[in-house]
Amino acid sequence: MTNYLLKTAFRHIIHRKYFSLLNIVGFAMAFATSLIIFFYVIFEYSFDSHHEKAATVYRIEFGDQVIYKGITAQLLKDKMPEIKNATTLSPYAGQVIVHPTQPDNIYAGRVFQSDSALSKMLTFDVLMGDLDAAFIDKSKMAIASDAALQLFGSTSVIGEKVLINYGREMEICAVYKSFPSNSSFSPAGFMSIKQNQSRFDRSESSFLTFVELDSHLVTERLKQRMAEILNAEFDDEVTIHLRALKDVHFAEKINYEYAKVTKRSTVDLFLSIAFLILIISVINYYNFKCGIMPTREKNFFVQEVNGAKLKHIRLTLLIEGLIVCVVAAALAYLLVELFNSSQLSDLVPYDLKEFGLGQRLLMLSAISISAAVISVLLPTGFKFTDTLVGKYRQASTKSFISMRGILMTFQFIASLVLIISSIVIYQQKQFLLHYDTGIATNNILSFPLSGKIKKNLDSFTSELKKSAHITDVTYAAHGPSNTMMGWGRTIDGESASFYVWPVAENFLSFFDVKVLKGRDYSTNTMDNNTFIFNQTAIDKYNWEHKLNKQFPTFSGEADMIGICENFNYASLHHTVDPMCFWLNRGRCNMAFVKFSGNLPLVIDHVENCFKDVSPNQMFDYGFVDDTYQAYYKSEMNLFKLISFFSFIALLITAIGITGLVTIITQRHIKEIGIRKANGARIYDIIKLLNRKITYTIIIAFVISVPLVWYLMELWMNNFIVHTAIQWYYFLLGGMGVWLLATLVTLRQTWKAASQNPIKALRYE
Amino acid sequence: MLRTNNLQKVFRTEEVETTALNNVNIHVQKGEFVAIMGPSGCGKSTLLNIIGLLDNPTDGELFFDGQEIASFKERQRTNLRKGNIGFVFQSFNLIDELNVFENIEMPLVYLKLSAKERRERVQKVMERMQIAHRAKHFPQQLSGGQQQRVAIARAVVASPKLILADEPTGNLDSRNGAEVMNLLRQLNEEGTTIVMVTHSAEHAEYAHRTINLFDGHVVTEQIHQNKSFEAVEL
Ligand SMILES: Nc1ncnc2c1ncn2[C@@H]1O[C@H](COP(=O)(O)OP(=O)(O)OP(=O)(O)O)[C@@H](O)[C@H]1O
Ligand SMILES: [Mg+2]
Repeated sequence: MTNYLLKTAFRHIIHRKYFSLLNIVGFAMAFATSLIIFFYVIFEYSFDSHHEKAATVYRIEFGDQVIYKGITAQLLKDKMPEIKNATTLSPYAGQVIVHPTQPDNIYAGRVFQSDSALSKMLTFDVLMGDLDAAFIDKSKMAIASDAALQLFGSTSVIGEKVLINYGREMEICAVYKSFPSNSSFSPAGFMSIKQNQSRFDRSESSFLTFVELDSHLVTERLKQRMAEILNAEFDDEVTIHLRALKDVHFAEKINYEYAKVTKRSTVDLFLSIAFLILIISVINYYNFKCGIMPTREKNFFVQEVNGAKLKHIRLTLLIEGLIVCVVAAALAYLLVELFNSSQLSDLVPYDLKEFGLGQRLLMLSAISISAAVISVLLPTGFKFTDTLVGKYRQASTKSFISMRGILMTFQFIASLVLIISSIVIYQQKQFLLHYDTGIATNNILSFPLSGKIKKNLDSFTSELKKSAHITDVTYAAHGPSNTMMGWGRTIDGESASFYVWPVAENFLSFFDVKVLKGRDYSTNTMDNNTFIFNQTAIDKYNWEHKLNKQFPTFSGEADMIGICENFNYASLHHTVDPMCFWLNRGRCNMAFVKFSGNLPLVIDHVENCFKDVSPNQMFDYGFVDDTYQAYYKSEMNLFKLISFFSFIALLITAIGITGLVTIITQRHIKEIGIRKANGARIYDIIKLLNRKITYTIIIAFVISVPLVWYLMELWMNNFIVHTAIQWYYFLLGGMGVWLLATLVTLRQTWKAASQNPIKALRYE
Repeated sequence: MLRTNNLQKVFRTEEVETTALNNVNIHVQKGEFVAIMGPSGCGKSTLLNIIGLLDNPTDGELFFDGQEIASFKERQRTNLRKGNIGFVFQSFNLIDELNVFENIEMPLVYLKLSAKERRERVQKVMERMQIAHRAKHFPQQLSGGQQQRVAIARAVVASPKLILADEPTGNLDSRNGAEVMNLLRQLNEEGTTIVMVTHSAEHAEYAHRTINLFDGHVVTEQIHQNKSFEAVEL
């Protein structure tokens, strides 16, 4: 029996080669895409899950920022018994760890200062040594295995010395396994917060606070109590938000964010694309199955007359579905491999290789089996006895046609939404790429300095300037970014917070940042440590009168000597917040070289200058324009991915439309013959068949326009600056879909309509 | 009005070559009523289809009103068919999705008549065929005889010059058959030229003349008594 069923199912698939092929290709693309997306979603949603207490450790957010006073943790723990643990972190301890004897051997990564409560709250896999010693002993630190491997080529490095930011020497007392790639923060090392005296400074706000709480205790009331305690203590007006560690990755619109964050809306957008693609492919299969059902009814009827039960027919259909899905799944596996080895895989933020063969097979089976089962469970409109009692057939055929009409409309809506959204997303991407950020970033080369070069910066500068192609050189702690150092200070009794960008004296003129009031930096050493604030800071805190007055720095005070125009120093996701330049050559780790003319010559020259001083360090250069765009790069990659997946979805829809039109045309072949015998021209026939599809598209269009409009407005609101949705995007999308459908109809109808009508009349 | 010259039709399939028509020469005059008879498979339907421009001859010529039409292009064929030739098929060929009224209306739609005129003409034909009470029914809901009458109604509704009928009585009992034959005779008396395929010698008697086909050849022609037909050759 099973044998017989398998045989008939196979025969049918082979017999209907054309439709089987469309089905398999459509399913394979859908399975591959959804596999990639599902893994991506799993990756994004599993952030920080390797910390056992990811759900009960909370990051405290103060208003819209993560940094606050250094004694917050202690204060709250003392006054609130429900807090099990509380810890303070400073993310500004260091950006680079340097080998003690090889100044060019560095590991770039944030070093945090904290206390021993941290080791109780986060999950560390200590490979070697004593982690807690790092939090107790001021001269010791723990480093991540990746840093140890890069600096020493081994993780057995207990007792070795390293330099933090080329300065302070620390002894390694522990090596812990680097946090996995799905961690919102992956510190290169930890040391004791005891080194940081400013944590007791009540005017200083640059510390992170984490608390451990039973999640059922986290209530509005609790947050209010926290705020009351803090506001009473510091005479402040902050509001408190508690964000569980597992949710930090999805934090949005938070200032002084140190963590790796992603927009949840983007992840969900991908997830909906995956489901949409799966639904479309299942509907395709369903439509095809129903489309050829009438011709199969006769066969089923004959089978019934010969003793088959409804069960058998259902089973045949299920086996067919499974065979198609299994073949499609195999093909999908190949497609995923193809995707993985292509450049497209660079666009996905996770490494597909982290999901092994077993996981992939499991995911593929889950997807394909559910697709097969759902396709079979949907009603076919075929009722077993109908073939026996012909007069009921009229009614059932009718309702099933309208069911298919609805599904076809859905297909068109899906493709319209995809096309129009892709156009909007593309326009937004172009808009961001060409947005004038107010800072000159063209033709600028940038590279990290080596320890030796830092010591002889002036001679290095003059060496560089010997090339006729190099017009200017400057230095800063980093390029434009949104992960700058943040300072919270109490100034004139009011708390203020702002980003601080350590730069060399000619940095502003180099980047064409205009000074509006006061003056730009000069080469006079008197200017060291002085500040130039941006207009936003002045406006926000009413500091106009503080020009040429003193501001606190890390050590002592220094003047604000100027006010500069606002420019977009971070990505366009961020508003321009208060920030200041800080003339501090000692913190400048990056060089910026402005060039004109022959780029290879320039690079050659810069590399020579670099290697002359530091022959062993890799010369790793980039372009500011690139790095600047790197802040949109993750976003741009996601844009590209969305476009790519939308394109796949569109392709699958196109397959569906092709199949549907083919079925509709085939069903009408005889009618075409009759009509031609009665005087219809080819044009009349095409018009007739195309009319139904055109109506369907019009209905779909009317439904999709507000849908796309709403979705895209929602999505664009994630951006500080965004383009406007133009009416012609809709026209373009609508015409595109209509053209596609019409072309397929034309091709199919032409064949049937241009032959001798007698051939069509003989068609069954 | 209709003349064939050495008409030949060969069907080539993968295995066999069937000569359905071999040097067929027939001549139908304007206003004439001609019956074609012959055993099953002798090529009657094939001949009718070629005359009606539904199919191409393999060889030979076909004249309609003195014009050679076998070599006509698609567009010319359509224009000639439209309003000039009405078909009654052996297997009715009604469109399942259209009701009786809409099926009959079809040729008028392609003649671009106004809706009002179409309605009037269809109504008239339906009454004549006694199917007016079934106007809203779909083909599956009709008996074979009723379907046959719908098919005839569709063939005549545009008042074509020529009606080609392939076994119009094949599915009917003798009473219904006679009714259809009377109808065709009436149409013929009103001036329509008719070529009809039939297996019934009795129904062939309604025609002026019977052409006997055998294995793709015209074997005999017989003129029926009392029905001598004098026509002006055009
Ligand atoms: N499309 C086709 N392909 C191949 N052979 C065909 C085709 N159409 C007709 N024939 C063959 O041509 C011959 C004539 O067929 P035709 O339909 O004209 O016969 P007929 O005289 O109308 O028969 P009946 O009285 O049974 O309707 C038959 O042998 C038939 O098998
Ligand atoms: Mg026949």
